[in-house]
Amino acid sequence: MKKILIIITLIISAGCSSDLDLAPIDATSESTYWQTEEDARVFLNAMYADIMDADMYLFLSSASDDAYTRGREEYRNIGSGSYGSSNGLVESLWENKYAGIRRANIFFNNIDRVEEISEEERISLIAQARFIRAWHYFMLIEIYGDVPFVTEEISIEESLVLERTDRNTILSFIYSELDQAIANLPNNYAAEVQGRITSNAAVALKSRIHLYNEEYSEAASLAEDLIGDYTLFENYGDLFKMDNEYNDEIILSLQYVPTDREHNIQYSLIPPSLGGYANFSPLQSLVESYPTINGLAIDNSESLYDEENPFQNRDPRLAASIIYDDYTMQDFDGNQVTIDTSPGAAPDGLNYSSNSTPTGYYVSKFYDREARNQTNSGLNLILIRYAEVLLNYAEAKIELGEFTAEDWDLSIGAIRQRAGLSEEALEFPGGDQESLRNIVRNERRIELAFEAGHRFFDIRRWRIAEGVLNGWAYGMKTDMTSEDDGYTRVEHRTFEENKHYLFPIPLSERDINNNLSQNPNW
Amino acid sequence: MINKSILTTILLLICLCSKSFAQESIISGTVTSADDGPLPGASVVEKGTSNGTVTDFDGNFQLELSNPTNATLVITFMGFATKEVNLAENDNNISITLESDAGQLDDVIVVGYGTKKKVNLTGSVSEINNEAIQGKPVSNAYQALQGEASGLTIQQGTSEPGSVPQINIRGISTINGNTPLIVVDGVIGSLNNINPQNIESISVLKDAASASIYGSRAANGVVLVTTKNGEEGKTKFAYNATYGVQEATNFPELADSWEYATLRNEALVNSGMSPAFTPEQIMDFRENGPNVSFYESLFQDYATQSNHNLSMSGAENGLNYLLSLGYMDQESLFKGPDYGHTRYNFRINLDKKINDKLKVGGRISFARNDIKGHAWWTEWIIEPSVRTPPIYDIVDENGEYTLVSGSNSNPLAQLEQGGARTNQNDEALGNVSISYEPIENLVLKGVLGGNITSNKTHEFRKAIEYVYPGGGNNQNSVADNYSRSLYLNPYITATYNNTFFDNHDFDFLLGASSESYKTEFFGVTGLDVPGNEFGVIDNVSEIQQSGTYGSGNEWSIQSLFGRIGYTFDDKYLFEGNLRYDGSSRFSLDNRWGVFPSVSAGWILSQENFFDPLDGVISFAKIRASWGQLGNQDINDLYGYQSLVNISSNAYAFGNVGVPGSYYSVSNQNRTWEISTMKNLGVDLAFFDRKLNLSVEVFDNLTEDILLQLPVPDTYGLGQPFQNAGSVRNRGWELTLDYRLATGDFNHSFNVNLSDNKNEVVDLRGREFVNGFDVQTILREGYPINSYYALKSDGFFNSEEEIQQSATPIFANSVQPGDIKYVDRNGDGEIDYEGDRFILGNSFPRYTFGATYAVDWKGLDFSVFIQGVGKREQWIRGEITEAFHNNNEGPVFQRHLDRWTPENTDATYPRLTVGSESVNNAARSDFYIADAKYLRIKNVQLGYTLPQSIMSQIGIESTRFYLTGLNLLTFSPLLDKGLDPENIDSNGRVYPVSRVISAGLDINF
Repeated sequence: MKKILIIITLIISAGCSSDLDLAPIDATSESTYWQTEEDARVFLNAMYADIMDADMYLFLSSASDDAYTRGREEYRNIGSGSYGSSNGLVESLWENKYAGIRRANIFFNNIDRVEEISEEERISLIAQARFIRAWHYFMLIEIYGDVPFVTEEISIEESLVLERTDRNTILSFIYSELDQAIANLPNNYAAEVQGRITSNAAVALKSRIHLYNEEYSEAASLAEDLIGDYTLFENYGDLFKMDNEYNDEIILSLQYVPTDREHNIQYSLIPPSLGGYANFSPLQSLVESYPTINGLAIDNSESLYDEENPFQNRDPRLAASIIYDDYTMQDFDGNQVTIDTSPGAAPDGLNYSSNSTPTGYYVSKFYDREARNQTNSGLNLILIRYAEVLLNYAEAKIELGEFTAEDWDLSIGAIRQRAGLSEEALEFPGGDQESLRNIVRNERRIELAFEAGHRFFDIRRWRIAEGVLNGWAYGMKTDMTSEDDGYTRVEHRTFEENKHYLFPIPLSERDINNNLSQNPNW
Repeated sequence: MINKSILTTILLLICLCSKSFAQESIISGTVTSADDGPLPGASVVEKGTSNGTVTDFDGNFQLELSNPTNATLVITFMGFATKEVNLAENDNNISITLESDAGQLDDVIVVGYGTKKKVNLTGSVSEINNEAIQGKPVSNAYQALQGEASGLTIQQGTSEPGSVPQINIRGISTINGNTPLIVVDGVIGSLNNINPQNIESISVLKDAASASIYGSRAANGVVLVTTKNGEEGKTKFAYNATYGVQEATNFPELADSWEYATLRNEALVNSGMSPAFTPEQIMDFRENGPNVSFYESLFQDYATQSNHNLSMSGAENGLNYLLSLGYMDQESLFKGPDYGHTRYNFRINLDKKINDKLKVGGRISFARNDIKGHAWWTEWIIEPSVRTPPIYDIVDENGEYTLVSGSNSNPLAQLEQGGARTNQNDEALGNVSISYEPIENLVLKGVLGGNITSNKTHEFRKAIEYVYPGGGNNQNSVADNYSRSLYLNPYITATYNNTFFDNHDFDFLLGASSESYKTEFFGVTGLDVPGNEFGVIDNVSEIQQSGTYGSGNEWSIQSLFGRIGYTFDDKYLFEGNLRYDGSSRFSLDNRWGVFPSVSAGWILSQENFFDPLDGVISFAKIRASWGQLGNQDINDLYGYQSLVNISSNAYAFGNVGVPGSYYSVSNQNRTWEISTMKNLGVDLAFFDRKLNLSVEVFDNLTEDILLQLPVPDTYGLGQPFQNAGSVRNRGWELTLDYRLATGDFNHSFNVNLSDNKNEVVDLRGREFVNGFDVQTILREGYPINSYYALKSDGFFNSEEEIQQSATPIFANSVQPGDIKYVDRNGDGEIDYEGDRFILGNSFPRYTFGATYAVDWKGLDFSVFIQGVGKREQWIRGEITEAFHNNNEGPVFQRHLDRWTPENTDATYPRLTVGSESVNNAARSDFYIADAKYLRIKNVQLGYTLPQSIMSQIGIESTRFYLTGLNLLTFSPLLDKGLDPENIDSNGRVYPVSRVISAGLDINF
């Protein structure tokens, strides 16, 4: 009998043994984080990943006149003007930016709790975080106009009633944050932490933002501060290769590593014969914007353009950016292969199948022959580089009416020289503001093609989108059809100037917060 | 291999059991039923032996007794209570009368922590007995239960080996963990790994009064599974087997190649582009095809499925025992190297009565699942194969896998040459119990139950060599994943039952229980095995950080509970329950909850005033219950605390990955979600209990429902669980059974029908829209997660009509033949903000099941029909849309009836591609389909060999049968290429299969 009682007692005690205060074994509590420098650094690392992802870096350009995406509906519909407030990009861009802002606000609220850190390091980390948060707001006001302005860790209840803040208020905030970042950031980091934000990166960003906001003297003067501090890399095409990820032209790039942190934009860029899917296809309009090697537009009678051999004697940046019919390149095994994009040619020909190009073009920029499984690449994606600073400078000076031959030489001239254009293309063309404006705008388009959505933003800030995003978008010329001079129709696009310059405020956000107003005509 | 050894064992056993016996005494007699006269076909067996016979047409029998001095006869007949007759020395002709066993007064039903007489139930409990499970060619217990009990909803939209169906009791009262609590022999377990053949009975506890003894674990109802154990008598062996074939039931009907090409041209021209195919090409397609369906090409025509079960059971000297082995093998219909699911089940049940006061018992069951499938994700395999137009071959004339249309891989190559993923999942479930009766009627019981699972996955994705340039899949990879879990559930109970002053019956239960669960897991992924052959981690060239992980988590619950039952004069019934639970998922302040319930019943037929009705109504009871249950079963275990999680390779500097830290979403105020359930039931039996009817109505109000409510993106941290508001489920259930004998035919009918209506009652004035491609809304006054989309209004037929109508602001082109939408707010344009409607939801209503069974002499036949009377399913993507998302395909037969200027009375709009499709691809009820269905779930035809013959060789009974599962389905959804049980809006699933099997049951 005693044995039984013992057994019952044992079971009872087993019954009361489990604990209801359980802590996770793989995460620490928020209250015990923020002790060491490493805590702060690791938190900031995650904030870097918020700046921009590889998909957006590439596909924003497909919502411009540079390219077309067949499969990425959310970008395609923006390009064609067939979208509303529940478009995937309209919603996800908003969501991603505010998630990044939340992380930044958490950082600012807690960084002072960290005790095991040098003041110098604390100041530097704070300055990097300021750059990132300013970047998020810059994206938001460019794309949505007035947006909710959040600089604290807010509660769900507070977020449910937020209203939109005037973009100019936010713009002033961005400038003051960047000023602090410029003042507190270093310009050099040890090799093992290359890729961190420098003071110069903040200068360059601020120059860009002033330019976008037509504050030309500030834009020019900030750009001028950097002139001479960097050099243009010797070869335009090699600028986007793994071997040159940290060359002297780079001011800030999104960091990727083979296998451990990779992107797969290459899948969308290269021809099917190399394992690609043609989800991002350059348009005829971009191809035509590359001048001939002497710097003259192809419709200029003095250009070297030959309609029979349209890709000969062209600006070398064309071949460094775009794969066209009969293009020769190295495949993954190092063999020279020729890409046949002529209509119906297997497997790369125009519209041969769903994975071949709908425009007749593929992309050679960013081509990484070391990519894992042909498509997974660790190539860094350049967010800010010296050439852009020079173009900011040139554009600002032109808009100010102060553009000189000397300015030309150190900006557009230098860029063209590096690109490999012939001597006559490097000479200052002179001319009035309007013609110089056209030159710098076209130069910007081809120099920065497919990079970080430059063209997406440029056609909007220049207010030329209703001109370039209306009507048919075309691909290569073929003899398949006689309509439209034989150029392949890719998509019919619409851009309404009274509506499409700003994205609508996302539907999901307005479904839940009645205080958010909508942009005009949405 | 296994089959052979089992057969050998059987033959051996048959030899052992067939013995000759001395013929010393003969007994004869007649078996009759209480009111219907002679019973032909009743089984008469001498107890403790296999010596027996069956009655003839007049109910007479004759049996030579093997032990004439002290014999007992056991008389059994379906539908009647088993009767034992002790023979006196000089008996040689006896009359035996059997009582109908429907609703026997002494029948007990398993309830929480005990059993109860069925007549005394005051709560809502459905019972499923093993007859409902027998002979169905199922691969898991869920399939056997589908449609068998009112209020129990089981949905399986795919028959992919290893897939687990969804199970619900009385609708969605909570969003989280809608799965009911599964209790196997008193220990919380799963239905997945149970050998269906081991199931003795299943009780489904549906209302709070029945389930509240399980307190916080029971908010979604409780399924109590009791496994078989040995019965007094000599050792019995049972063997049963089924062997059959599976075939896919339904594929979308693809257009022929030439039809595709014609429609493709039409869509391109409609979109302002040039046609892609010349008339010559179309003629060629018309003559030569190839009319290939990539989707169907992935599947074999047939695959086998088999079950074998062997058990030994008995009881002697106070020891009841059962040993059982089970084997289930389901081949996959996917082409490829031996894909399929094999499950091995093993069970020992022991109960030992040590003395009059002390009993000990133990249960151990073990299940191993070996699942071998392709190394990819089924969704990824199906998606491109549905999108591919029928003009391409999947394998070219040289036998090489093609690369076509929107993919750098070939799904068939992935199946056949892309390696495999094998899962080896083990579950051991067991308990030991000890019960002690220190004084009469007081029983103290202690149980230690537990469950150990161990799951191992090995995946080897082989590199595939395509002869066509541009093939992907050219890097192989190996992944090993492992997880184990331990669940412990010790509990103690004290029960006391007694009767005072003749007619006051009391029973008390007091108990304490503790549950703890811990799981640990890790995995590693490696890339590039040289040679593509030996896929083990040791051989990889590089470890992939993002596929390498290891962690774990745990939860625990502590509980006290009690029950008091009181019955007066066998007429007035009362029961009260109380449970007190603490959960590790809540902060200290919100941790504990109290869950009470009360119920009462009145057996009218016991009253004197009822006597005049006795001839018609043999039993009548009214019962009512009220109770509360808590729910804490959310997958976010620690979400009341704000945590910082570290993630490796969040970013990189200097070409080296660096970790990043992320705040978890949290809500420290979250607490118990509480359901208040009311139930009212009437049980009636007519005509000497031949016809039984139960009707119940219920009303469940779930308050403080735990939901991951949408939060504004500007909040920036994702959606924590919040106690959001209230949801009500109201419904009714009806169960009817009827037995009837006509001549030698015994018929039985069984019907159950139920409905449940769900409504969001309170969201504190707010409303929430969820989802992207498929949007649902939470709005007061409407069912939870109702579809929320534009409402279509036919197609535009003219340019003038478009001019006069509202068109979407998000579409840059609207043409005649496009879908017209209703301008809900009348602002002259269509947009989601102002023009969405609430348009149904996907939860089944009017669920029903009906069985008709008949037996005639040794033959038996049954048909089981099951279905859903009302359900909507939103379908999106390539399974429904022609040229979905600007793809080259697909085009289905049903797209042929598209709008053209000549065919304005069409069922599908104008065909378009790319941005031209935006108007028609908008989220609208055009894509919400009627998903009601009726399915002939199971038909069985069996023959039981005459016992008089079989008993000569020591075999008690032998039954052969043919059986089929999912034989025929009627549903409007089938026309869209989807199975009506499909709950995946993309339809990217392995299809539901039909199974036709032959079976054998032998008891000896």
